[in-house]
Amino acid sequence: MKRTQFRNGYTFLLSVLFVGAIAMTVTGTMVLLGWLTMRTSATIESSTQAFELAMTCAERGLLSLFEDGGYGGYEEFSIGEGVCDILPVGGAGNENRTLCVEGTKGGVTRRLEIVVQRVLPSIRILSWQEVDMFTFCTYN
Amino acid sequence: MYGITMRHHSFRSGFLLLDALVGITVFAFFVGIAGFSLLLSQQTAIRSGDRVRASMLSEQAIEAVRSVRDADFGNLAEGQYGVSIGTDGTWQLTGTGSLSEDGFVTSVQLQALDDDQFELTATTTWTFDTARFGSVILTAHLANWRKEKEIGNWAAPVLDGAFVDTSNPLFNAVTIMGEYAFVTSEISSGGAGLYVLDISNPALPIRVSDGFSLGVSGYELIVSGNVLFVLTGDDANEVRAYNISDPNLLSSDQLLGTYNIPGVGRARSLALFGTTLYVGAQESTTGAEFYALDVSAPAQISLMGFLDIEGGVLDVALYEGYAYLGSTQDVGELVVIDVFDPQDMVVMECGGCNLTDVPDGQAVGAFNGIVLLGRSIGDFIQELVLFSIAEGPAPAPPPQPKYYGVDANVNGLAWEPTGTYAFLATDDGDQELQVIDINRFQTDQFPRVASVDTTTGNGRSVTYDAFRDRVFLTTNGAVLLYAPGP
Repeated sequence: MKRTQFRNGYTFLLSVLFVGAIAMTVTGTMVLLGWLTMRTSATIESSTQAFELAMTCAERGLLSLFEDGGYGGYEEFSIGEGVCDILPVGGAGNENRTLCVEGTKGGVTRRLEIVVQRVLPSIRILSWQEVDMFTFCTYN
Repeated sequence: MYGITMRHHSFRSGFLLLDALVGITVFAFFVGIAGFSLLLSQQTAIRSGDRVRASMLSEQAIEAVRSVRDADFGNLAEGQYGVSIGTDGTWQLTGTGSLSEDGFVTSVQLQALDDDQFELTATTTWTFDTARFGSVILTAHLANWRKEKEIGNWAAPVLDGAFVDTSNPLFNAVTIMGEYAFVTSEISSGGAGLYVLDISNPALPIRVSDGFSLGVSGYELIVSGNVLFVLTGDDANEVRAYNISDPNLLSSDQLLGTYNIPGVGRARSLALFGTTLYVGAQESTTGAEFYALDVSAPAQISLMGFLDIEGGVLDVALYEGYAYLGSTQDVGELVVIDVFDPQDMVVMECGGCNLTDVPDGQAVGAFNGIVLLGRSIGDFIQELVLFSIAEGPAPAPPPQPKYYGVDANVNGLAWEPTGTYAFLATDDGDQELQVIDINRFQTDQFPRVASVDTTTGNGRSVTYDAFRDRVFLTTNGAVLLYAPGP
């Protein structure tokens, strides 16, 4: 003689917990994904502005160098909520000058390293590249 | 006996229905939350995508205006514009805004900061529904750094000013920083080794910091920012770095750092790229002749690399990652070195660098795809040599190079940056400064288009100041400033 006993509600409880766990995991993941997506877009926006800030300092630095061959750099400009910095200009005279600049917005920094083949009679650029770390310039 | 199995089922009435209803309700609740979060996540992703797209459109607008500026800075004027691609395939400023295919509106606002700069604000806005709207604003400055400065007519130079020292200190090299010229000299006839001239009025150079003496002979020198690097005859500290933030106050207290080139006072030539200082030295049987120094911290100048080569290095010119050396080597008066990596410099193979006879390569310049080499006088040679490096960094053997007979030592060499003219400092008693037309030289015509006679002694070095369009000639007893003619 076999006697089967049911513990009433136990299956139901397990089912609820199981489905609930899955649902909460899915929800949490989705919320996290959404937050990360929002943060990524904000970072891209900051990065774009940081790049334009770096370009701004590059343009200002090149103009200053054109007008004064003894221009030493080492300047900072605030534009909107960001800043850009011109590092000390490298080289001497009219040829083989290096200009390094960086723009920062919202914790994102973009850096440009420019090698000027000559300054006058018109600026001729040998290379203009975005870099992770400066190789031609130092901060002091 | 057959076994009998009896089942006992005890049911609570209605439980099944209630259980199912509660289960479905709870399940639906959780599925609803998950679904809502999916929907929310999707909406967030779409809104984030809108912002990324707007950032790109604003950046594109800035680059479009930059492209318009590149064509001609005069194309820019204050106002609000849209950007579009014209029929000729170039960016144009049109209307007051531009609408993208996916519904974003971008406009750029130009505001003049001065005659040579604009502030540019690019704004992209979007409104797709009550939840999808916003704006992205990017700001940048555009400058007129592509303008061009005219170079004068150097076929007729005129004396503009002079600093004369009747004691004939044997002036050596000149470098310029703003309103000041720094000039080195020998000390054998009472010279100070280093002079500072105020050239704010080029017609009347005035010596400042006249109490300062280098104490040893000064050779080549170069300015980087507020630091002057000068090569000296000091046995233990050939390379010296001085703080010249105020040239009127130059003194021994302004010495920032030194570097000892092995040997005794051998350093003779200098070139700077970024924070790397290249030093050429006289030939030694025990030491190297070419050094790369890290001068990023002038107080702690350090060695990056060196090359032990045949012959002394009397002059150095840098061009596109290569160093061109004027050498005392008898079988290679011009030496080409790959200096892309200062820690691993390499002498290039150069089939055309060994010139006729043995007079030294004393002065060298590299610009616009050519190398000029000035040599000491020789009975069977022409002292000025023009190499083409358009096809590669090392000059090839004949039919190049081209020659011009100076009939004197070529002690110094400079050029103006368009590459139209080069300037020679020579020992020729009637033509201490000579002006060479590079185009005529390249086309086998007589290249000298002007010369200057000075009574202040031999031409010892020449420097071109691009910012003033002036030539500085040093002689035994004077620093002479020349201007282009009318």
